[in-house]
Parts: sequence; structure tokens; C-alpha cells
Amino acid sequence: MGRLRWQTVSVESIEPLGRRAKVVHLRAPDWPGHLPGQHVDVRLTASDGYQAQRSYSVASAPHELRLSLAVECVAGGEVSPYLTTEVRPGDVFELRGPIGGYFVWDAAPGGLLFMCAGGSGVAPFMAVLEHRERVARGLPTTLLYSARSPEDAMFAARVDALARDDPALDVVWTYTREAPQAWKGYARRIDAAILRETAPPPDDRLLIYVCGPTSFVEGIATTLVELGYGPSSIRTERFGPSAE
Amino acid sequence: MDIPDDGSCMQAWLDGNAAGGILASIFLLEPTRARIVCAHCRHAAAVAEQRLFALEMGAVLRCPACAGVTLRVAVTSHGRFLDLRGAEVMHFA
Repeated sequence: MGRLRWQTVSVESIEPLGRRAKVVHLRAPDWPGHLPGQHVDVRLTASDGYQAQRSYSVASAPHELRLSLAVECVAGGEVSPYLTTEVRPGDVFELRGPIGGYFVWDAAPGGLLFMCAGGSGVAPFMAVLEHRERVARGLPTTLLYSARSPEDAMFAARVDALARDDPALDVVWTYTREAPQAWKGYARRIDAAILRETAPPPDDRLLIYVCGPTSFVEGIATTLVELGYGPSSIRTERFGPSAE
Repeated sequence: MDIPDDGSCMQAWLDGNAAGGILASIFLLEPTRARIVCAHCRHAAAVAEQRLFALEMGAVLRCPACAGVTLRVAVTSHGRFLDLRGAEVMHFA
């Protein structure tokens, strides 16, 4: 690979994603392709030359023609308010990627997959699920997804549709603030009991991915190790303080 | 920079994953899987597993075991700066 450089991308369309996020679909003519789990850096430059930069996971799968980023609006942020409220189709900005070789998923070795998402931490797992659907359908997979409420959940309809069509894909929701009426599932932050009930038992072929706010990832990774999962089987991506 | 005991700045750290962009603008090989042996405590961990304290124009990585600084990188209008004094070895597999 050559050294990473900035490239100019243009906005194709924007879709709402739950209550405070958007998915931004981009045209990136110089995109070299990516692996599920990789991210990009976005750089915005103001007219006075001031620059702000943030990282976003790629939510689209490698085979999709457009590059999609899931962006949660962080109040007072420098980049996310632009990407969630101001940006219009045809706007251009700079981006570099794909980035990362650690928090990536390769379908080839098979095995078992357990993914734990907190809020917008589900974005890289959408790339994994769409890629899995295409190349590794039937691979035993669990997505444990913690959202504040059904209105805050991102990609909920797509996740449920993927799970309906594939008995090997199990999706478990937990709502931390507000659960749907008559909800019988989990309605609390992910804890040892939830992990014990949803994660496959420790196994050499099990790969675990955890993505979310720093404190979310920290708590789950520590608990998983206490439950007997090998630290080397756990890959984490922390994206900073929670937007709450 | 010392980490305050009250942990007030601990929420600010990210994984070294997020430094992948700035490091890949310097290194030719994929940097986040590279392993760093901490010069302070000899703990070995991937760049992705280091604790990242993002700054305005660069990044500081700290060892996940001892919190010693392992790598500092900055990209400025005067050029790129890379300080690896805290990394005894950086191993690209």
C-alpha cells in the first residue's frame, strides 16, 4: 500500500438514522476498496483555513458502490453537526482511508462471530453483516446491540431483516433508557449476566468485536475477560466519550 | 502530561485505531497492527491497543499497561514529526 493521502469526495444523499444520526452516502471515485471494520478520517476546512478532523467507521460493505458513513450528532462538535444537519447532496469535503488493519473482519477463517455494539458503534458491524450476508451466510453470528431507545437505534429495520432471513444470525437488543411497550427483552446496560446469556461459550474459533463509547467498551472487554474469554480473541474500538 | 488521579481526562482517550490515518500518512506498511514494545515497562501491544490521546495537530500514544508515552506524531505546516523514544521496538508483522 502507498502512503495514505486525502481525497475529495462528494455527497450523494443523506438519510435519517434514528433520532440523532444520519447516514451520509458518498461518491468516492478514488476509493481503493475496504474491509469491513475499517474507518476513514474526514477533514473539513473553513473559509478562514481552520481545519477540523474526525474518524468515522465505514458502514457500507465492500461490494456496495457508494461509501456510507453513519454519523451521530454530538452537540457542540466540530464535524458531526455539519455532517448531520448542514450537508447537502453535491457538497464536497476531504476524506482519507481506508484505515486500520486490526479492527477488521475477514470472512475467510470462518469460526464464530460475536459483536457487541453501543449506540453508533453499530456502524462497522453493518459493514460486517452486509459482507457476511454476501460471502458467509450461515456463519454462526450474534450481534448484541445496546441502544438508548428504539427511536435511537440505528439500522434497526435492516438488522432485523437480515436476522429474519438467516437462522444463523442472532440479534439481541437491549434498551438502556426507554424500551418498547410490553418489551420482554433486556432493558439495561450490558452486564455480565447479559454477556453470559448471549455470547457463545469461550471457543478457540470465536472472534469477538466490541465497538462503542470508551466506557462501554472498557466495561464489556473487562467483563468478557473475567468470564473466561481470551484477551487475544477480543478486538475493540473505542470512539470516545458517550454522546449522552 | 500526567493523567490526573481523578480520571478527569481518562474519558478523552481512544484506541490507537483512530491514529491509523495520521500514521498511515507516514508509514508505508499498515501501522495499527504493528506491535510496540514499551520502552518504560516492556509491555508489547498493537498500535491499535495503545491509548490514544488526540491532540490538535497530532497524536500521543500511551502504553495500555503503564500509561508511559510510546509514540508521538504531529503533522504541521513545517513537516511531519515522529518521536519513538518511548517505543523500544516497533514490529510490523
